[in-house]
Amino acid sequence: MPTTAALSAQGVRKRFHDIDALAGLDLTVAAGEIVGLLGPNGSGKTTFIRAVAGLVRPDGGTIEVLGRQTRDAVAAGVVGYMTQTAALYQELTVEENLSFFAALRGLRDPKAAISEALGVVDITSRRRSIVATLSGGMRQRVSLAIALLGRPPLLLLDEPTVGVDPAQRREFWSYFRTLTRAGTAMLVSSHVMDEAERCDRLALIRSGRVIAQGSAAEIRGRAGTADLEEAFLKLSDEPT
Amino acid sequence: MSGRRIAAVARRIVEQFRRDRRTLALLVGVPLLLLLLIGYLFTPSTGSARASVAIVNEDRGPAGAALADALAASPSLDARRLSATDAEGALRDGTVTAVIDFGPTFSQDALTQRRIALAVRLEGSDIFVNGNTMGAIQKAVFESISGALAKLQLPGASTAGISLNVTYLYGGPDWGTLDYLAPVLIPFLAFFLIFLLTDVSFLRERASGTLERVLASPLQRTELVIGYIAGFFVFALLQTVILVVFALYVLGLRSNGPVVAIFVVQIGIVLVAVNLGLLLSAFARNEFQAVQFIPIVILPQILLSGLLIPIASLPDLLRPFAWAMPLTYVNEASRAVMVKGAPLTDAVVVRDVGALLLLALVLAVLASRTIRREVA
Repeated sequence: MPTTAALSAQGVRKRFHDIDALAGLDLTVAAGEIVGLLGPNGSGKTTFIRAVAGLVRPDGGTIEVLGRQTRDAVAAGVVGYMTQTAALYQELTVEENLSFFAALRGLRDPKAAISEALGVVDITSRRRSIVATLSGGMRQRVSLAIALLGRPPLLLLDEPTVGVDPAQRREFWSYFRTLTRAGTAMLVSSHVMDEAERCDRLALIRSGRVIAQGSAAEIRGRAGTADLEEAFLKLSDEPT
Repeated sequence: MSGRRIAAVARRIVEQFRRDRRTLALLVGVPLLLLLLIGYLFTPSTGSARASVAIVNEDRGPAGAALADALAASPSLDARRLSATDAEGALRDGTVTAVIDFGPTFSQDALTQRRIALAVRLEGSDIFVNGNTMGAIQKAVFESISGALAKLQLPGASTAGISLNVTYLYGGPDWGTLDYLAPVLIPFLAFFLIFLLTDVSFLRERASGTLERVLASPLQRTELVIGYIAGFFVFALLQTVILVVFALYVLGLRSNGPVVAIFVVQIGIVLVAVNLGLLLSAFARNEFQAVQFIPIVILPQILLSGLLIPIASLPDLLRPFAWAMPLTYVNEASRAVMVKGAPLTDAVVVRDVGALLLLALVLAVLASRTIRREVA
């Protein structure tokens, strides 16, 4: 396994008008690791994910993806990004949406990649449906399928399971594990604690900085609480 | 019926728009700007009503010279005295819009037939220019010639006896209003609709979040812009084919030029429309603002591009702005092709299509810049 981290961020800063969205954020994600990004609304989770996806240019600090600058990594198609809202072309079918993004990523075998992604999110039977006719949860799955296309080495998932039922969520996570065994690194932002429990490591973010890091057990231990949600609330409220 | 509920709805609307500063600015700024433009446009100014004409005197008798002098001095005309050949050249290159010709037998006809006939040759490619020119010539004849005639003491001559024999270089009396308007209406419709289509759909791409996703892929911004141009071009071309076929073969409108030249000119303007739509969508935060841009983009083009008001008739201050309007170039080129029968290789057509392509390129570069800026 290569020693380069899949994602390495150091001292990332970004200011929007008078708000420090990111205030010196440090985070690394190793290949084959799932890191959960937890934090209250407005803590900088989405800004950080967008910065890794090359959509926000930081004012300071460095972000490297597989040893490359974010923009180069994105251009090389090694980053799969799932936006918070299911950003899809409503007039197109599920399959047409996927093949569009497959083409943008320049996948060698787009057909196979599309079938695999459709299978993972269990939406193969609706592949010819127009996206506008799908329910919110289904659209979320299509959106995830797009990020998964071609198994990029780094997956950025911004609240991937919003509106997805628990059984389906379990399916997702077992697939995520299949991917990480093959070396995929994942950065997942979430509000769902049972999802956080499944991550290898959690990074608790507040005011654009990582205030606590470690496995779910370590976080619970540090906060001295029995469950993760309590720990999360306690650590979030602590003065920094 | 509850006054409080009604007030709640009304208050909410006021609060919403108070936050949308740009819409408020447009709401006030757009009408003021347009009112100013239209107001200025229709302020009577000297010069604008004058017609540029060439006066040719080939008369072997004395009458022609005297009347030509009188006519040339008329305040309604911006007249130059030319030989017949030079006058025809000036008519062709657009320096003058009409040639008034006193023929070799002018004096003789006046004496023997008691009839004064002026030969007027109109450039003819623009129905509005034709109207303005004829109006100016008639006014000049009415004002200047009667006095000159009285001095000449031709037996029986009077203004009532003057007739204008009008011939056309392009177009003609058998050309209907729509024959004249089709060359400018077809590109205008294409420009307007394609601009609208691109503007709104790129705004949707930004608003729905799909742009974010597209930009987080290996796709480059220039590739995105070129892809957009190519995609909309399919519909623009389809629209052009339908418009042209409908105009020429269903409505039976006239065109003297090759159909392929009509298409090339159309391609120039739709490329401008697509890129302008892409560029301006960056400055609209929502559909409402995008809609507000329409009058800003469209109305100055209608007023200043020679579509309805000949450029020569614009007030001096506004005339230079005509050449800042994409439609000006397409109107000139399209009239050259459809009315004058210019081929694709015609200098004016080449220059105008070149200007449109250059403008489209500049807009495309600016549009791809705006996509980049949003991301930074």
